[in-house]
Amino acid sequence: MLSATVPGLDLPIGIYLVSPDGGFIECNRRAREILGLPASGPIEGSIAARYVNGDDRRQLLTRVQEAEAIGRYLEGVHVRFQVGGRHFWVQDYCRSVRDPVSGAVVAYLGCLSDVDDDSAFVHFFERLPKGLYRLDRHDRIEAVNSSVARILRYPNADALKGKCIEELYVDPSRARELRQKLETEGYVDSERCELKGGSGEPVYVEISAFKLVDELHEYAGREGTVTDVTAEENYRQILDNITIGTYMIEWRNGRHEVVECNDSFARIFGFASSRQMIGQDILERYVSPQRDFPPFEDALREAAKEEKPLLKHRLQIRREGGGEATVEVSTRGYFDQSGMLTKRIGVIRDVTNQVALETLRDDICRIIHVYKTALLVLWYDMLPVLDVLGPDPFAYPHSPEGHYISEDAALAALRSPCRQLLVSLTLPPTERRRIEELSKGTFEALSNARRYLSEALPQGPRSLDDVEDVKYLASEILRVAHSGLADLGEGTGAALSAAAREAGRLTSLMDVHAACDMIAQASYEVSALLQHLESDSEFPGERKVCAMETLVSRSLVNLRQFARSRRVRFRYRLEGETLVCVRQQAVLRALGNLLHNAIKYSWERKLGEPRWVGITMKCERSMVDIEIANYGVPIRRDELDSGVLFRFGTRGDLADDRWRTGTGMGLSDARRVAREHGGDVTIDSVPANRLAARDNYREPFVTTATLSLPVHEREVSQHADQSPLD
Amino acid sequence: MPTRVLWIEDGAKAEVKTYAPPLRTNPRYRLDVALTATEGMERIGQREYDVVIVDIRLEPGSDPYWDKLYRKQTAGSGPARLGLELLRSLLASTDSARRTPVWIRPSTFGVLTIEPEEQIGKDIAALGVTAYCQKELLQDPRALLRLVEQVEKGKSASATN
Repeated sequence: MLSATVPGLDLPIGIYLVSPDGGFIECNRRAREILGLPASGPIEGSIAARYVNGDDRRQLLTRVQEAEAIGRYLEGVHVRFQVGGRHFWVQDYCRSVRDPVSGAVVAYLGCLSDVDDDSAFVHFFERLPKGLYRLDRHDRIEAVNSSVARILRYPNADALKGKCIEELYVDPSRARELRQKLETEGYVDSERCELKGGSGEPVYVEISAFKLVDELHEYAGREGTVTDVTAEENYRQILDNITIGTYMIEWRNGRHEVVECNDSFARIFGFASSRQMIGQDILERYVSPQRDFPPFEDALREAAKEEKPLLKHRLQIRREGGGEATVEVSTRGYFDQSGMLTKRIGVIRDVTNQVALETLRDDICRIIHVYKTALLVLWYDMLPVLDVLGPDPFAYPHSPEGHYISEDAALAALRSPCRQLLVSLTLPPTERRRIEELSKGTFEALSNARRYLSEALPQGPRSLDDVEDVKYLASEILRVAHSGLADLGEGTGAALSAAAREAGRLTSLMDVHAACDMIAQASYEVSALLQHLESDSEFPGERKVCAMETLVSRSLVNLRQFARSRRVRFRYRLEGETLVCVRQQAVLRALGNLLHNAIKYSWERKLGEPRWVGITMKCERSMVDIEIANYGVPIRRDELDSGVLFRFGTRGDLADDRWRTGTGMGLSDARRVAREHGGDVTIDSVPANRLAARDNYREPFVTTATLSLPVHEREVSQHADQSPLD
Repeated sequence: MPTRVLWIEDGAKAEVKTYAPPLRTNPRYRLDVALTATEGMERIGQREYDVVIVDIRLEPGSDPYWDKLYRKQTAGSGPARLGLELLRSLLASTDSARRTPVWIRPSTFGVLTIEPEEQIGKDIAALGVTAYCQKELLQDPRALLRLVEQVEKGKSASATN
């Protein structure tokens, strides 16, 4: 019945009836015109062949089924057709024709119109990458293209239709602000807003729109575009939240104008946001543009010649609201053909606090220099004191600058004077009674001294603590001698005074030697502290390739005098040439620290024999190890295991053995230097006698400090080239 | 019988050179030195002392109790005052499980420290310790001896009362 009816429907719209697979059953005249079919008679072929995209028909039939499932028809779908090489758009309305008994689709009945001009626009806007939207007078979404849905992470445009625009804003007041602006100015341009995406995630967009008005010129909604700037905004926020200021400055209208910057840049200059900074002439923010800009421009020009950015150039700037700051600028300058600075892009950092710290450090360094000089003067002033106290049994003939007295030497020197003192204190009973009658205090002092010497030190002093006691007794005897011994018999008094004087002289000599030694050590420590402080200003990139053997030799020369004063000999063999790429002064300091410790904490193996420090160098393929070993003061196992010795300012529990001074910074500094170079410092300490207990810290230990540094790559690759093949 | 003196002093290794000889060479005294809070408490537990001189800034030693306390105190802004804690644990402990030797009395103790009296005086006075001496540069070597004598005098005065 339908096939008979369709041809007679002479309407300005095409009517078609096709089989389920698209085969033409019948069409009216208009449909035959649109589809390029014969004007009359039977029709061959299929409508499916008219689709530009074969998938479009499958999708269309699916949508027919979906619409019919909810009791509707497919209406007004735009489809691209081709007939005789011409592509054009049709608007299609379609329904199925079903068998009344089985319900199976037996045909499709539809109508179509050629809407080529109209649909081209719709399709164009639909596929635009930019979002297009229209709101009604109540700011409800009336129409959006699919790009808006994509930008806002919604499944499709329909999901947005009817929503009030304020719902989409993270801050609804911003929506009202935009509406206000539209109403008063008629349009908004590139307004950045934060919207809520389909799942609540933030989406940053840039909105441009113009106001729609009704016939009474009342606000009737708006139309505009939405651009996704989420990625850009995220980057902008990162830039704004870092503490480094980023900027672009261009030469415009005779000014060095800030054209772009982040908020941190503005904050460094005392402004709240980049908006306040953009457009300013940067030279107006300089404390002294006449003084500071020409050298800055010259430095930029020099760097540009080498095609490098200018790094860490310091400038004084004025802060908005008062105050000055020092900034460190790293920037690249762009010059035109005439040599004019046209643009610069870079970063700045506020280093005002750092400058204050550097100034403080420099002041401290100056003061330390003064103390170093004072220590040297003091050291030289001690030499005449030693002469006056002579003859000096502790002055080593082979080491004129030696002032360190070993414990054994000190004890040996005092044995005879102590015996003499004890003999002198053993007074005849008559004289003892006389003294007791004259002065109870004097009697008690002398009695105590005699008792102590005879009971505690019958063989003379046994330790440095005993030496201190002898010194105290000698000074006590001399003190009472000045007050009371004049009343004693001449011979007794003189003998006692002479014995006390000799004991006092020797202990004083020891003290002066100890003081000289302490001064020499303090002088070294002060120098090390000075170097440590000054090393912070060393530019970290200044590494040079050099032979490790040369560095070790130089540090041995540097420590030679200190080693001689301690009667320490170096045992070493340095051969070959192992290259390292290092900051030489820093590595020399690290080696010096380790050698100084090794010398300082060395003991004699036998009385009168020189001490030793052994230096060996081992080179494994990529690392060179310098081992510095000494025989002497132990390091406790728990201190080695916990690594506490590498803490700045920490000294080993046994480090003040025999009153050795130190700052506790040598090891930590050495490790810091080694690690900066990709190496390390390790320490081990084991009993010198392999049979001795590991925790008997009264016995000597062999302590080995190892400085490891990476071998320079060139050398490693050469070794690799020379290694035999498997 | 000589007076038994215990000196708990972490700087003793260096300061013994200055302050110990007048006590060591005097037969009236027997001096023991403890270098840490742990060692000090061990000595106190081992025997009775007539006089105990305590430094305020002490190292903890190996006892985890003192080590924990030391870490807690050094984590703050001020120095660790383990000597004060040691005095409190001996003279003002409320811990019934902790057995304090019967000879422990405030009059047995003296404080030799670098801490000025205005900073520490109230705390030690609250414990009943009155013998105090501040360490100074270029101090008389008899400073420790004098402090011990002061404690002895205080003890005999309190015994008389």
